[in-house]
Amino acid sequence: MNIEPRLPHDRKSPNIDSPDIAPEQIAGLLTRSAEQLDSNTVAALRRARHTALDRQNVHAPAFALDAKHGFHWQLPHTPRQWVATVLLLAVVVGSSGYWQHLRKHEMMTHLDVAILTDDMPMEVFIDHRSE
Amino acid sequence: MKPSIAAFALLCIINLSPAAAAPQPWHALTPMQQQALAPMVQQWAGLSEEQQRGLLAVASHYPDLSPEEKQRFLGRLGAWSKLTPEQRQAAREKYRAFSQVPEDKQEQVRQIVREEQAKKAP
Repeated sequence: MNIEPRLPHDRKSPNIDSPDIAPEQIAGLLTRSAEQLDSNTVAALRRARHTALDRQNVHAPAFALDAKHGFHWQLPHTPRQWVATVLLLAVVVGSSGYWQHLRKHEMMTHLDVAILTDDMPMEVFIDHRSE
Repeated sequence: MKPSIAAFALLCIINLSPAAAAPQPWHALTPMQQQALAPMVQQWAGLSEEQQRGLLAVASHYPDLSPEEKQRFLGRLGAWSKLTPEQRQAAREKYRAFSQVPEDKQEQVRQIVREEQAKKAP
């Protein structure tokens, strides 16, 4: 199928490689070329376009911003996603709690060592009334 | 789904509960731990796992102490371990408050305490 535009022989075709050619000239050339395509070529192009569109698979993104539904895209949709989210939250909360627990004990230990080794007598810091 | 639930339960157990273990016998301690906790040798077996863990944490700092600090540490550990948890916590809070006092004020207090001790000493 030859879809090469056929220009009238009597019109002088400007050299499109020339840096002097104006964009309007290119637009005009394309318009004239399109007007001269025969109906068979136009029909073949239309069929080819439809075939290409039919073959194109549309993949919906797993997480896509949806202007209509706000943050709906951020919520888990399947049970598996819910389980994964709950697990992740449990790990984060548990790790944070455990880290705080360790940090508290570490601070307590440092204070204990300081009290046990300071040149101030330990009794200064101890309240014997609560015995 | 079952493996997911099991993994979740396992993670909860690992993450949310502090290590629960049986008390350690004295002979299971390292020589350094035994040296640091020597004042506690008689009471050691009767201590709970939590009390042992606290003492072992304190003892882990023993190698870094100066000879003078080691002497104080060993001299005070027995009395410290006999305090109630509330007394220990109150002592920690007092010490923390004292350590936030400016250095020169701290030194004044230390000097007064030293003088008082010297008066009491035979």
